[in-house]
Amino acid sequence: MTQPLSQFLIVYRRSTRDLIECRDLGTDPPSALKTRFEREKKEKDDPDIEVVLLGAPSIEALRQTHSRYFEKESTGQSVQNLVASTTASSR
Amino acid sequence: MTKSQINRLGDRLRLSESPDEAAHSEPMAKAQALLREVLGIEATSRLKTINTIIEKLRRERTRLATMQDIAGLRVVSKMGLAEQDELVGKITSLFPGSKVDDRRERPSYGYRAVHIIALVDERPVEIQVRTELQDRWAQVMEGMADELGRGIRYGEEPKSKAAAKNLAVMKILSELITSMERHPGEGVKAPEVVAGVEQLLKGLEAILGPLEEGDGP
Repeated sequence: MTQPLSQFLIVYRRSTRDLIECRDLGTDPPSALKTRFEREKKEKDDPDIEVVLLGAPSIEALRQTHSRYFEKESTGQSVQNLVASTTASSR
Repeated sequence: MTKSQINRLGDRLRLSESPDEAAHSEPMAKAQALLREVLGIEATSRLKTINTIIEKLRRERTRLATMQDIAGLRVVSKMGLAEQDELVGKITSLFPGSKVDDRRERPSYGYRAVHIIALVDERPVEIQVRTELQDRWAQVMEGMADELGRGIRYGEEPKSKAAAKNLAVMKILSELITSMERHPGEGVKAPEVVAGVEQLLKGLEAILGPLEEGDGP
């Protein structure tokens, strides 16, 4: 039997790239969505805060497909890392 | 839609716990389960946030009813373009009537991926299929947009020179990744890559020098 998909609530501050909260809300999407709506209402006046609900088999899967929330690099550093990894793959 | 109509819609979405999003949640979960059970693909899911829905309505002057990416799935895999095509073929077969938006051929400000719009229970679910390099590029760009303003993803000029240089590097990298993915396994030995990419790498070198001194806005 496949592992049920978990719903993760992510609260993220865009300008500073801070992951404020990452919470596993369990495997019931309607209940998780309700929690997200409540949190989004709380943050509605701050456009810098992103409240998002992501469904994934594991936190590791999320780190792969939505790595932006989990990496706190400066813009210059992340561009340089991308240059390094891209040129490394070309060899 | 006018600005005030969009603002009213935003208020309605927030007050009503966004029925439009909730209605997309079940088809999205169904598509995610189908990918997993039939094709063995682990996709991650996300519903567009109310703020990003409002941003898109403002940016594209579109209507909520025609928005196709309220519900989204993402698949990232270490693969070349041929395998990506094969995977897209399998997914479109699983969702008859789905539409394919191939952004590898028509990149959106450097963003490359294949988006499939599948109709599940009459609701559109956008399935993004990305290679690892396409995804890496997209994630870095998203991070830059977080710091510099989301408009840079849609052609807006950044305010600082350092940010403009980073964006120029991203544009070059997008082309470099395109060339590399067209010639998997050949790397810099492929004629197209030799002819074009070495020139791009020189350009990168020229731009990258001053980046360490200040990369913020």
